[in-house]
This record gives sequence, C-alpha cells and structure tokens, in this order.
Amino acid sequence: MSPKRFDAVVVGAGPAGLAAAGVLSRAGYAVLVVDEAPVPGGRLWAQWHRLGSTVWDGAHEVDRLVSALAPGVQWRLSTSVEAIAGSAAEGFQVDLARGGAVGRAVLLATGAAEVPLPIPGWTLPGVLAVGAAQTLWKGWHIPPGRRGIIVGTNPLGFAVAQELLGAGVESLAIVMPPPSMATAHLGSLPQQWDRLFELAAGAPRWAQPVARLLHGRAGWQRMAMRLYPPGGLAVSGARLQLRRQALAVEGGDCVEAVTLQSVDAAGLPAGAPWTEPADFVLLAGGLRPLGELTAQAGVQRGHYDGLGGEVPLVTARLATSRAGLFAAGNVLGVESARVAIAQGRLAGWGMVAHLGGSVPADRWREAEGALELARRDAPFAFQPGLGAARLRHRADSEREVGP
Amino acid sequence: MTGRAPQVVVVGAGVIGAAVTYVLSSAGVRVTLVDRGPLGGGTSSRCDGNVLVIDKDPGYQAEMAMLSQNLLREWAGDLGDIEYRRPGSYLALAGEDEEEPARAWVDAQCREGLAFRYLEYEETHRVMPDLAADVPGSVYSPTDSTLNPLAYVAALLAKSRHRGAQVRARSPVAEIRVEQGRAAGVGLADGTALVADAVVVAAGVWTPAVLAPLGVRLPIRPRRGHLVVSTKGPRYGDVKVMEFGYLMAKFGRERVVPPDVERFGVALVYEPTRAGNFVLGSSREFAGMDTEPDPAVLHAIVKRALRFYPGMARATVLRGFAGLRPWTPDHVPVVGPVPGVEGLYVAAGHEGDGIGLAAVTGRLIGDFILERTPPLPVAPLAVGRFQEETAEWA
Amino acid sequence: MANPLVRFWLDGEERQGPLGVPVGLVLYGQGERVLGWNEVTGQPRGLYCGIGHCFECRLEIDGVRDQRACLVPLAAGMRVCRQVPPTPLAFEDAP
Ligand SMILES: Cc1cc2nc3c(=O)[nH]c(=O)nc-3n(C[C@H](O)[C@H](O)[C@H](O)COP(=O)(O)OP(=O)(O)OC[C@H]3O[C@@H](n4cnc5c(N)ncnc54)[C@H](O)[C@@H]3O)c2cc1C
Ligand SMILES: Cc1cc2nc3c(=O)[nH]c(=O)nc-3n(C[C@H](O)[C@H](O)[C@H](O)COP(=O)(O)OP(=O)(O)OC[C@H]3O[C@@H](n4cnc5c(N)ncnc54)[C@H](O)[C@@H]3O)c2cc1C
Ligand code: FES
Repeated sequence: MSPKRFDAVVVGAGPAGLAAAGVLSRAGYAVLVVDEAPVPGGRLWAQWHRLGSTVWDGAHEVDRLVSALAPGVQWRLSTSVEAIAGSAAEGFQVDLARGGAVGRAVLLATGAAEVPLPIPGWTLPGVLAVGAAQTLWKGWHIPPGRRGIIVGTNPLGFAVAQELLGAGVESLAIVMPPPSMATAHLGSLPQQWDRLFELAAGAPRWAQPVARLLHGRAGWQRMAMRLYPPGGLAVSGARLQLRRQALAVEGGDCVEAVTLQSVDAAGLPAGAPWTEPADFVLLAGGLRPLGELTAQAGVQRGHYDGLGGEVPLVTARLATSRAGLFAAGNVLGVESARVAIAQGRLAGWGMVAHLGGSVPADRWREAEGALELARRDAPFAFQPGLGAARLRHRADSEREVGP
Repeated sequence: MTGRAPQVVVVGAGVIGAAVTYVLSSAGVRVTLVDRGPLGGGTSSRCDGNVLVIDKDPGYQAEMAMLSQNLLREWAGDLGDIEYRRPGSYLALAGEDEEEPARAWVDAQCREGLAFRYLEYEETHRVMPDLAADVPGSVYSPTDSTLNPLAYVAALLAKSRHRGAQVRARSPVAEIRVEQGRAAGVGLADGTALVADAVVVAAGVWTPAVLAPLGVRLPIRPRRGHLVVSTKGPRYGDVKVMEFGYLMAKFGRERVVPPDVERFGVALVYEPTRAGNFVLGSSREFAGMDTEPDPAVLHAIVKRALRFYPGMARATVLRGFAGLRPWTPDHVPVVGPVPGVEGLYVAAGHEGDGIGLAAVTGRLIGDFILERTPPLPVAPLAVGRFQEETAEWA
Repeated sequence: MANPLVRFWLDGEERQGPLGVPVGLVLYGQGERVLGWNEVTGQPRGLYCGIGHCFECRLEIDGVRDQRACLVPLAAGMRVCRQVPPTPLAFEDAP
C-alpha cells in the first residue's frame, strides 16, 4: 500500500490540533488529523469549570472546533503515532503501521500527561490519576466511587473536585502527599503550601477560602497554617486538609483505605497515623508536556519548570527547529485549553505560510492577539513561575531557532 | 608488593570492570572503579545475558567458558537476585545441510569432556514445541546459564562497595599516569588525580583509546549487535535457543541465508526474561561507534526469528537497540599485564561473551595482581600477542 | 443522552454495557477494578490514567493482546479477556 499524501498532518485532535486543522482546511489545504483516541477533543472534551457566573463546557467547545473544519478533512482516529520520519523536502511520514501517510508539514499537538505521584500502594486498582476521574465522570457519567481521597494540591485536583459535585461521591478529602524520595521534587510541606498560596493569589473559586485566610500577604503562611482548622476547609464540595498527609493506600485487590497522618504548622508529623476507609484515591501530581514525540522527531528542546518540563523551542509562529515541523498546545507548556486553541490557530497560519500560502498581516495580528488575550484571561496557572518561564522560553527560542 | 594493602584503580564500570572490582575488593584490596558515564552504561547494558559454552570452540575457549560458568555458580549465592537460571541452551538447525556439522560439533565437545548432546527431531520438538515443524534437530548444552546483565553489574558493584570499593560514575579518565616504568594512577578529565599501585583498563571497545597515549596499540574493534525486545506476553518456550548458523556467523564460516540476514550477520537468539518479555537477537557488523538502531537490521532479526518461531507473528515488538561488542581478531579476550609498564593491566575484548566470561576474567586479574596461580594458561590471552595484526591496523 | 446497551463478553462471561464507551471505563463502572496483573510481581492492576498514557489497562480484545482498554470503544459482541501473567521460568530445565 503506498502512503497517502497530504499538505498537512496534524498529530493530536485536542483543542490545539483541531484549531490548526480548522485554519488549514478553510485555507484549502488537504489535512489529515491523527489521534490515538477514538473521539476528537483531547483533554478539552471532558473539561467543565464554573468561572464566576459562566461555565466552561469542554464538550461544547469541541463541537464548535469540529464544526469549524472545512469539509474534506481526513481522520485517522484510534491511531497512535510512534515516530515521525522524513523531512520537509521529501515529506514527513507518520502512521507507518497502516501503510503510512505523508505530509509536507506536520503539527505536533499531543498535549500533556499527568506526572505520577507514586505513594505506597499507588498501583492498587481504584487508585487513579486525578484526570481519569474527570474523564470517567464528565466524559462518560461513570462515578469514580463513593468515598475518595485526592492526594496532592495542584490545580487539576481542585478542578476535578469541583467537577465531581453531583457524581454521588459521599465524602471527598484533599490531603498532602507523603514525604519520600518519589515526592522529593515537590519540596517540603511548607514549600508546597507556599506554592499553593502563590497559585491561589490568582484566586479562582476553589482557592478563595485559602486566599481569604492569607489576605494575599507574604510571610503569613506560617500563621495561616497554625490557624488552619484540623478538619480542613470546605472547598467546592471537598474538604481541603492541608495539615494531613496520606502515607499509604491500603487494600487487598483494590483500594480499601488510606493511612493518614496529621502534621503541625511546620509540616512535621504530629500524633499517630490512622486509617480511613476509601474506595478510590486520586493522585494529583501535576501535568507535564507529553514530550515523547517531540524528542523522537529530534526538534531542539529546553527544560522549563514553569512550563511543566521539556518543550520544543519555537519561533513566534510556532515553527520548531526542523523546517516543516510545528508545535502547538500543551506540548509547548502546560496552559489552559483556550491558550491551546489560540496556539493552534497561530500554528495553522504558520503552516499555511510554510506551504506557500499568503497570510494577510491582520491574520497574524488577530492570531497573536488572541493568544495574548487567552493568556491574560487564564482562570489559573498550572505551575507557579509560568510567566517567567514563558519569557525565558521565548528568549531561548529566539536565539536558537529564530524570531 | 609492600606491606600495606595495595591500591588499584579500575577504568570502566562495565561487567568486566565490575567483576574485577568484585574479586579484588573481596580479597581485601582497596579499589577505586571509575567510569566516564553512568555505571554499566556501555555494552554491558546493551546485550543478552547468556553464559554459554555451547558456541565456544572446543579446547581452550570452551575450558575458559566452563571455568567462568562454575565461578558464576559460586558467585550467584553471594550476589543475591540477578535472575540467574541454568536452563541449558540449544542450537536449532535451519536445514538438513547443518546436521553433519552439528553432529561433528557435538562429538568434538564430548571428546573434550563436555556433556553436549545432539537431539533428534522428536526430542527437539518435545523440548521446544513452538519451533517451526521443519527444524530437523538441535544441539543441547546442559550447563549453560543465563542472568540479567544489568542486575549482575549492579550486584557486583553493590557487593564491591560493601567491601570497601569506591565507585565513581561520570568521571572520565583522561590519562593513565606512568612514573619510572610503573603505573602510578590515573588523571580524571576534571583534573583530579587518583594514585594507585596498579591500574586495570576494562573499557570495552574504548580500551584502545584509553591506552593509545601510552603507545599501546590493541586491535579491539566495535562489532555492532542489535537486539529486539517484545512486549510482555506469551512466551515461545522457557529455554534459550540460538541457531546453529550462529556459529557460522561468529567464525565467518559460510551460511545459506537471505541477503539481509547475511549482510547484517543476523542469527537467531531467543531469550525469555523473567519480566515476561523475550529478547531476540542478533546481528554482527562493523559499523563504527554508532549505536543508533537501524530499522533494517531490526527487521532482519524479526524475520529470522519468524523462520524458527512462526507463532511469533502474533507477538508485539516493544523496542530495539544496539551495542558494541569489543571484537578481537582471534575471538579471544585480552587479559593480562601490559609489557613494559609494570602494574598496568588490560581486561577487554570479550566480543559477544563478556557477560559469560566476566567471572573468569575477574579471577585472572585478581591472580595477576595478588600473584596467585591462575586456573588456566594465560599465554593465549596476552596483551602482546597481536604485534602483526596491530601493524596492519595502524 | 444515554448510549444504547450492547452485549459483550468478559473472560467468557456475558455482560451488557453502553455502546461506544471505552471498555476500560465500562468495566470500572461495573465494579471491575482489576484489569490485569503485573507480569513480575503478580500484583493486581487497573485503570489508572484513562487516556492511553500509562498502559496499565491492557486487555486482550477480540483476540488482539495488549490493547489499551481506555482507548477502545465498546462494540456489540466484543470479546474481552484479562491477560494472565506468564508462569515463572524454571530454574533448571533438562529435556
Ligand atoms: C488529564 C488532564 C486533565 C486536564 N484537565 C484540564 C482542565 O480541567 N482544565 C484545563 O484548563 N486544562 C486541563 N488540562 C490541560 C489540557 O492539556 C489543556 O486544557 C488542553 O486540552 C491542551 O490541549 P492540546 O490540544 O495541547 O492537548 P490535548 O487536549 O491533550 O490533546 C492531545 C491529543 O493528542 C493525542 N495524542 C497524544 N499522543 C499521541 C500520539 N502519539 N499519537 C496520536 N495521538 C496522540 C491525544 O489522544 C489527545 O487527543 C488537562 C490535562 C490533562 C492531561
Ligand atoms: C547485542 C549484543 C548481545 C550480547 N549478548 C551477550 C550474551 O548473551 N552473553 C555474553 O556473555 N555477552 C554478550 N554480549 C557481549 C557483552 O555485552 C560484552 O562482551 C560486554 O558487555 C563487554 O563488557 P565490558 O565491561 O568490556 O565493556 P562495557 O560494558 O562497554 O564497559 C566499558 C566501560 O568503560 C567506560 N569507559 C570508556 N572510556 C572510558 C574512560 N576514558 N574513562 C572511564 N571510563 C571509560 C565506558 O563508559 C563503559 O561503561 C553481547 C553484546 C551485544 C552487543
Ligand atoms: S488507563 Fe492508562 S493507558 Fe489505559
């Protein structure tokens, strides 16, 4: 079977990939969209946030992006891309397993993955990465269980707690991870609290009780932790127990209980550990850009904690160091879905220009402006230090791959 | 040596350097082992774990391999879990034309006192029911064993440390320091000097580069080999199987096979692992120091495996990788003192047998340094034996 | 809008589940937490990431091994089997 040829191949049908496919297809280019999931939408599809008085409904946003595609876009769903071979001159080859597809330009839009939080007992069935609860409940209306504990305090954990309202969960607590080599990168408990307060300064709904405790003032953290109620604070339907640590998940064939430990205002253990029954545990270890394919493709990359890890260096129009390969969305750093959409549009125009099309100046301005706006309006940041990391990434990129 | 305990620096933390360090530290010698990269990050982590006699030339090579197997049996008790097993090994025949040479091979080994057997059709297929129906027979060597090479290196290093050895990763050796005709230690790339009474160079395919500044030339060349790893799943038998043609490739004898199999020197090696994957090998090529896997070679390896195990068409490949065997012109390693520099030793050039021969190599270097009687003649291993070849390579 | 129910088989046992929902999630919803066992330790494993990243949910589906069950939508008549880990290798093995 000889491979099919396309102007552009988009790898990943999340918000970034779909937005790019929209721009390319409406500009008249032959586009193939490949995704290993059976349905388009990526991580956007199961998102659902209350933002003040409005609701961000991911499924609805996906519908909008899909219906904005020009007819004729080709799909290969349930198809994993393991490697990208070739070059812009001879065409890039993807999907070698099924006879292949060749694109003159390729967009890497594979999104992000969750960082594991390996605590003792974490391999027991019923322990889920926190995003899985989002997929289960918001995606498919399957409740994760009745009594749950979320381990780790990162924004996705709080977002999921909010989403689980109405899922029939009787009790849900958010606790801190245990101290261990596997969690050392998170820092000490006081460091984790600091980070939480820093993120809370942007104060989405879930963080307001914490923010109120703090009045946004630095140096108050110790005091706040001393005053912190031992039973936790109610935050969007869950109890946020910042002075509790999960030491281990217990159970035979699946989760039955979690061993907990109280800590004092300095983050040190206080009193004896005890167990509480639970039938599911959600590990919230944070997000990282999914870098496997960008590494395999051999594009130049850099490491930025504020972006969540290793990301390609790109020009302002999202071209990587390899001519014809573009990147957009969370592969460039973990940010909100709206940012991913704006990056997808920008990369789409970048690819149009690479393919020889003309892009009116106001198109660029519009796309760049939308990206700026999406960033400014972001409801919360996934990691502290995002702004500074973005600047460093931009400067490094400009130096290494061009403006 | 003087009254105080000797101090030895070993260069290269592959399986050979690790075994040397293990023997010396177990004998109370103070050893510092240095590697320029991660521990065991050279060829010793890009290989199978076969400890074989079945493919050794009868005589000296087989005797050396047997000695190593027996030593390893003793060591296994001390080293803890290295996934050591003794399932024996088999050479499957690709066609009837291999029957006569195979029987001759068995006879020659038996004459040397080894317990080889030729298995007829029925027995071959009873032991290896997944083999293709047209495999006419096989050769069996009962003493052959297997282990996990990464676990082996890690265990050798852990025990050595426990016995006082210093182990330093990411410390490239920039020079071997010689004073008044004696090895005096090594200089690291960061400027640190390590003082020693003896230096052992066990740097695998990089050994010639380490020794070149001293004017010592060794004809060790990188002979690249690829391996393919399956996902965890059904096995195609518990025993290790190679093809008889493996010997032909190894010694450059003639073989009738498809062109890519010939070109890349591919011969079947099937090794089940405890983790539930199996490893398929392998190829033999001179391709410089490049270890970037070549898809064409991986493809040829899989194709060759299907010739012997048609059922493997249902299996899934997880990954492939390549390593560099330290080849020597006579297929015998270089183990012994460097003429003209007292206290300088080489332990390298084990080609496709370094895992298997690590134990005996460690023992021999220990015997040299501690002035004990070696368990076998050492002349065939001598550093100086390559004068003519070296001139050719230079 | 609820997905229509279809018949499928789990380890030979007949079941019903919502068409089009990924098999691994369907099973989670039916209380089937254990989807397999670690090949080395034999410890139980189940759904973890739900989006194809962790490979902990691998099942044999319609005769094909190692399918990530969180990525395969349930279809009518599907045959789903948990993969049994290999038996330990024999230490010595003489013909
Ligand atoms: C579990 C999880 C939950 C999240 N929840 C939220 C949230 O609630 N709110 C929020 O604002 N942000 C959330 N995010 C961040 C999210 O990444 C962004 O909001 C946004 O979806 C990023 O868009 P994207 O297009 O870059 O990637 P994604 O939306 O992740 O889409 C990437 C697509 O690429 C596909 N893919 C990946 N690798 C391959 C491959 N090798 N071959 C073929 N296809 C591949 C995936 O199947 C996926 O469909 C979440 C992220 C994760 C990982
Ligand atoms: C595909 C394949 C399959 C194989 N299968 C088997 C098998 O089944 N059984 C078997 O017995 N053998 C097998 N072998 C052979 C075996 O792997 C080698 O013989 C053995 O690993 C060589 O070990 P070594 O310690 O000499 O070299 P290496 O493991 O390469 O170690 C040398 C070390 O020296 C270090 N070094 C280099 N230069 C410096 C410096 N300047 N300073 C400090 N350190 C330095 C390197 O970093 C390296 O770690 C196989 C090989 C291959 C490629
Ligand atoms: S649950 Fe992680 S890959 Fe399916």
